[in-house]
Amino acid sequence: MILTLLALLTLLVGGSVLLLFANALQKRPLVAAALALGSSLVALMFFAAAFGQEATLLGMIHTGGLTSLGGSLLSLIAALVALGALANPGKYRAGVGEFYAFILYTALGGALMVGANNLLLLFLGLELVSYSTYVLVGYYRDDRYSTEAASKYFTLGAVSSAFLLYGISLLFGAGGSLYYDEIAAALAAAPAHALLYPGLALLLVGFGFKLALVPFHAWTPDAYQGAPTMVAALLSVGPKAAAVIALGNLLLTAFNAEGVSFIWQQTLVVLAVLTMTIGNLQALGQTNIKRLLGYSSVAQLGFVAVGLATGTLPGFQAAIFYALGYAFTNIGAFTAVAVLRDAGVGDELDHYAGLAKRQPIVALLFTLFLLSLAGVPLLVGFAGKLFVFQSAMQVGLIVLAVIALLNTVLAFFYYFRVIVAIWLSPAAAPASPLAVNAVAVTALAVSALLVVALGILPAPALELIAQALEAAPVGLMVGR
Amino acid sequence: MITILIALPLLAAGVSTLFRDERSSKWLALVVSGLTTLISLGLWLGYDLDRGGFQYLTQVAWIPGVGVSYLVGLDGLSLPFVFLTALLTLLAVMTEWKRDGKAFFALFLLLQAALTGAFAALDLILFFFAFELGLIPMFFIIGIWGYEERRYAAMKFLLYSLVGSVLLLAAILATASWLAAAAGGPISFDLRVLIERAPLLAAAPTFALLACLGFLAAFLIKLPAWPFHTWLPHAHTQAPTAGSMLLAGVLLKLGGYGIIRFNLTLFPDAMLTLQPLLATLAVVGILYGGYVALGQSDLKRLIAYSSVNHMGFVLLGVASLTALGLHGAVYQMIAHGVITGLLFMLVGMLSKRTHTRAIAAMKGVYTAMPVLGSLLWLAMLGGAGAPGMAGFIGEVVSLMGAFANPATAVFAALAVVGVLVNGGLMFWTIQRVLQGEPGSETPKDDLSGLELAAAVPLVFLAILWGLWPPSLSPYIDSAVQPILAAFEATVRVVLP
Repeated sequence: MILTLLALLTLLVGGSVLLLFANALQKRPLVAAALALGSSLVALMFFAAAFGQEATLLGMIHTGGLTSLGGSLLSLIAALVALGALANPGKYRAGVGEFYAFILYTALGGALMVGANNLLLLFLGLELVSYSTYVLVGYYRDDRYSTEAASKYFTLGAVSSAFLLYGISLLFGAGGSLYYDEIAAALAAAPAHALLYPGLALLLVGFGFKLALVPFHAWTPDAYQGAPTMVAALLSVGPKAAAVIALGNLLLTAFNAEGVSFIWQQTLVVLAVLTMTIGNLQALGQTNIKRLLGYSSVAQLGFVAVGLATGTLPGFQAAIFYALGYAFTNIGAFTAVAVLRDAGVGDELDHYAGLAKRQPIVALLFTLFLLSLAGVPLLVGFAGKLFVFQSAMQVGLIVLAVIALLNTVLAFFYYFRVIVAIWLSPAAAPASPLAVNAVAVTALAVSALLVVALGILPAPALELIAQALEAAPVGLMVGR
Repeated sequence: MITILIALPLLAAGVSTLFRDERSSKWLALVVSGLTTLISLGLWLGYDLDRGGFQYLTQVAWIPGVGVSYLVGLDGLSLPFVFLTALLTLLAVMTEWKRDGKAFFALFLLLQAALTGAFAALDLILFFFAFELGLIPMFFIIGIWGYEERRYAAMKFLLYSLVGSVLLLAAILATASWLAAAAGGPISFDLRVLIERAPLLAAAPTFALLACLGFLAAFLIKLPAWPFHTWLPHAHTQAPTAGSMLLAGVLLKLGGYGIIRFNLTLFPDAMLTLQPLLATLAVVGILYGGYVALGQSDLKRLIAYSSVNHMGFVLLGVASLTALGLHGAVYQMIAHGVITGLLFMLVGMLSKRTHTRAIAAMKGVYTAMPVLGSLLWLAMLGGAGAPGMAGFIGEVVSLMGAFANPATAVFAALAVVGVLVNGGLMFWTIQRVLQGEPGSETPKDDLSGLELAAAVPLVFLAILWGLWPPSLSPYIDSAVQPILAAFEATVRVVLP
């Protein structure tokens, strides 16, 4: 319990120090980045050490298991993003302290969401994540696109939060409590209250916005395109990973009563099919790499939704694994885009032509991330897909699994468009070599290592997730 | 030992990206593929025929949570292909010795590892891993080092194969989940466990049929059978010589191998239902492939279409569901791997000299370059299925098997016409390319020692397996007979 608290405190203190001393750090971007990297790594250690120490703090937040796992993941994401930003510290001069502080706050909010046992704490964590990312998306104050992205993201995000809060209030009416376990007990004891379904629907709409599930995904490509690239990296994985674990935890713990679970499972099935298919179809026509990755991340979350839609522990386990693998892969991909941008390559697909000749190392690593996103064996993307499909097959969702599989073909098409541009197309302009610094290559290599290692040996991570789920109250509520 | 065959090329491919100069990566590829050729030959010779079944088994739990294990083993069906994979990689490296680009050789090693893994895998997910992983190096080999329309060809190859693979994965997952539920045991992708459980599928014929079709989709595209063959002419024509060699020599064989290894053992009932369909596809492929090949003006494209014809015999042999037909199908696959590998190698050497693949631009090659000419002559005779070459035995035994089963006898009769068409095609091509007086543009530089050394092993094997089947047949028999015995027991019919 202490360790989890320490981890949360580390993130809080780290972020606050960065904010308090923002003026002093303004001239020392390296110190700020190092501070952020250090706090997130310390938090990661605390979270990891807390694994297996189950307790409930004031009934509000669980420690151990899932919290430890999700907190570690989010701290690692924050560390990777900070490392990626460190590759070009001069780029984030507009407010050095703020930039890194809000990265840490995103991780903090995410950890609260993951561990929450109370709907209000869940909402609080979610808002902390949202507000931090609102600021980060609009970080380039003078840039038209960044401001546009931030205002779109903020408006839709605020509306979705309102949906969520309203849903929570209705659920409070239906279940008589804000605590997950008490809601579950109330639902098990009495027939479903009339307010339950509207409340659940609004809750799913709210989460749908945060996870960018179709049809609530319209903000995604604009936000990714306009935001600083490392922020897009954070945005595409941090809040998503937290929301996936939090949503799965909430649904499986509180709303797993017979007759209730069927409703949200069916809803998620529909959302998953729409998200995968429409996300992929929209990605097909993109010519801007950040928009392409934006739509691709929409589609990727569709696969996660398949895992959640099964309503089983193996499905949830697969969804968490998928989110984990997707997080490392997507951070890697966006970091590669950021690194290339710093080296003078534009964001249009045409600018990537002949990249393999100009910067073979980054080209190779970027290709690795794209292959993982597409789902090529021996990379983590394939392992995640395999587990998700299998969990769907096991509960008889064969049609859903087949639709998901066919979607991977669509996805291959646009990921390989980028790969073709990088490797097979001749460069338009004279192909001068591109210089990248060592920090950038390190940041990419760390992600690549995780992608390959988890792809070849997924078993330990899968086992950890299974343990976390067994220990958490989730395990108690699901009839296995 | 099998693990070494897979791991060694994989490691070498990784190491070779670290080298700064191209020479060392070339040498590394040569040494590794040479070594693996010897090891696989050793495994073949060390296989205990009397005991039969899967030998050299290695099993390691890999992802126990979902029932996936690293399980490899070899039997008489997979041994020749594992050997052929290593050998053709070695010869491909020798053929392309002059080529620059260190990634080129690394990709071939990666391809070798993937293909070996696919033939050796006895866990369905492991098989799928390797099956799918093979696509990536081939995509880059065609796309980067191919001829003028390489990007289109590479993309078409990738997407076609991919559609097949996802249906295969869906079928694998669905079948394993269904069987685990029906048997009341934990989920497993171990082929031996699945075969044990397979009779339970009799309770759900529709499901079995759909799952069988999912497997077939991947394998028929890979084979390729008409009408899923349209990726092949592009891929073959545009691929560099070494790429064509491996594509024709080994990659296509995964299709026929998969049908025999998985479809026949897991879905006997469904395969019996689909027999007329498969036989029809086979005969159309035989006739259509041969006929279209007649109209080609591009030499590589011509051979690609004749491959469609050859692969039709494989499918026909399998569809006959007789021991004879199955034996012929495997024999034909091995023979085709050797002969067409040789054909693509020689045609590549020829077109490197003439700077064209157009048949019209070649004349009197035999007179101009006697060594290359005579080898090409021999290879084309092999392609025509001339007696004394391995292809003859494959085709004849497939046809005999098809004739032996009354259900497929009509198809066999039609397929004989295809033999004629293909024979005519090859002889006509010999006439156009090899015979006659060389024109003023015909180059005169004959094969170098290295090129000759690359061709000789294949010539030797084509003739060895053509004249002395006992060196190959017992191995095929030891694998095919049990498959068919189990088949007959499950569907409760005694096939002729």
